[in-house]
Amino acid sequence: MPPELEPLPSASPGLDRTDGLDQNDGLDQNDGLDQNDGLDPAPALGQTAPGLQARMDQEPAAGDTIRQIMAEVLETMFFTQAELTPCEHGWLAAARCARIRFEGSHCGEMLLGVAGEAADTIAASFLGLDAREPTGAQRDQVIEELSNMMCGALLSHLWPESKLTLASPELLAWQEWPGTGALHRCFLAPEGTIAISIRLLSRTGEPGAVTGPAEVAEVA
Amino acid sequence: MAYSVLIVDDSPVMRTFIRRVLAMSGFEVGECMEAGNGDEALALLNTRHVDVILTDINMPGMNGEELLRRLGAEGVLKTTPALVISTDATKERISRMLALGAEGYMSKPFTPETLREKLELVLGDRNAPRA
Amino acid sequence: MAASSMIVGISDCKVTRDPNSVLVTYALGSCIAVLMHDPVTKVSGLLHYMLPESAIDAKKAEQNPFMFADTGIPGMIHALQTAGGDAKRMVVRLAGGAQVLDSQGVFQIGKRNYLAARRILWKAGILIAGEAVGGEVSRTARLEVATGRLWLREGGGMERELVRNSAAPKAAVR
Repeated sequence: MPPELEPLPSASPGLDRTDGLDQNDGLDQNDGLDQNDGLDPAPALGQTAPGLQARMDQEPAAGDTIRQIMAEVLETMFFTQAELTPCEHGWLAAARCARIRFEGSHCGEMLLGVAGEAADTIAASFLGLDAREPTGAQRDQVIEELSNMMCGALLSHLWPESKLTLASPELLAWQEWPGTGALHRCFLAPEGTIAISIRLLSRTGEPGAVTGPAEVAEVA
Repeated sequence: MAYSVLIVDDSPVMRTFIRRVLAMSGFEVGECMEAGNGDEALALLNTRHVDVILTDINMPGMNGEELLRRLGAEGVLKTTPALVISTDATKERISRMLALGAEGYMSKPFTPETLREKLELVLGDRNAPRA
Repeated sequence: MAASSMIVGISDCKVTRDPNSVLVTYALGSCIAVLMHDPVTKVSGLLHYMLPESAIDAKKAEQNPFMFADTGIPGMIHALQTAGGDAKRMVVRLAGGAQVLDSQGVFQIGKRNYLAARRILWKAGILIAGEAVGGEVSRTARLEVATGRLWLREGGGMERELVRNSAAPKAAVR
């Protein structure tokens, strides 16, 4: 099991937890977030947060790889598909989310969020059941396993020569995840929306400079 | 002749998925046991023989790599094939697990049919499925 | 005795155990053909459906369940069982699901049809023994009831046999 990563910097007072997402979601207007507090929101789809341009450019394949892996995972074991969609995050407050941490040659974490009804249907598809049959516990376990597969497959594709250990996924409310410096994408499946955010962390737990083979500070 | 199978994975729903594939594959499965990590797997294997072990890698407690190391050291893998099923598809991990004696390695995600095909290779033609 | 063709049209399904019959369907574009064969009783079926989910038009589904995957596939399995087939023994193959008429794949109905088949068969406890899906070609599928052999023609190409395999979808002809 990877050792616990250092806790991320605590939020500034007044910081709206949902503004770790894109700048255009309408949720972050009063959060006091500015470029001088060291906490940058994750870029909106197609945009780059200030100060992160160079680091994002060092990992040009990440965004496209997320799209490919999402397709592969959903189609293979969940018998559904999802397309990239412009970010709109009102649904995330009620989403079923799972976080998975990883360590090794790259350290970081990934958060997967699935809209409520989509989570029920996706769980049923995975288990071979009718839509209403899975229990709440089964649904949550399926979301955890989906996050596990997404994270493992994504990292293996991005860095196939690396050495990685994944922690067990854990359920987390989207608002609890700082999301600073994350690469973020939203997807639309027939069942509903899915969001994914992934970021690298330094061994001290700070977003930014990563020691080891990765030259990029953030997958963002 | 029925197979006995041990599924080692910390995800209960992943164990359910694999169990379902076994039932659908046409193999005659006599006993299908489950363990949440390597420690539980070793405890089970101390009391009974299985025909095949299907194991994940990243699990709390003893992980799949340590499990394979122990099983190899005890000589279990000489008579019992182990198939690794993991999200980790990095080259180094795959090499290490095969070097430890894994009979095969499947990365997640996988289709049910792919698992059936791997099992056919690992188990040979004993009780070959009908389709 | 010469084989007699039983032609299955769009949104149609036929089941037979006549060993002299060959089940055939043409012009498989974005539609999916589900082909089933019981190697013991020879009970065989071919379903050719157009759309994945009947919820979009429940009335139409009532009139013709074989138009949709979620009503057609269970209907076909029931018909096969009534004719003496064993669902657990069925050799099941899929063909079609191409992205025709829409090279941008905007609606991806072919893929949605294919995923619907996989989802419904998984729920029914049935694994697939082979498939020829995706791509941009129209297909013709022919199932010999006596032998269970499945023949495919893709586009204007030669007819070839789809032998049993249990490969992942990516291994299928695209």
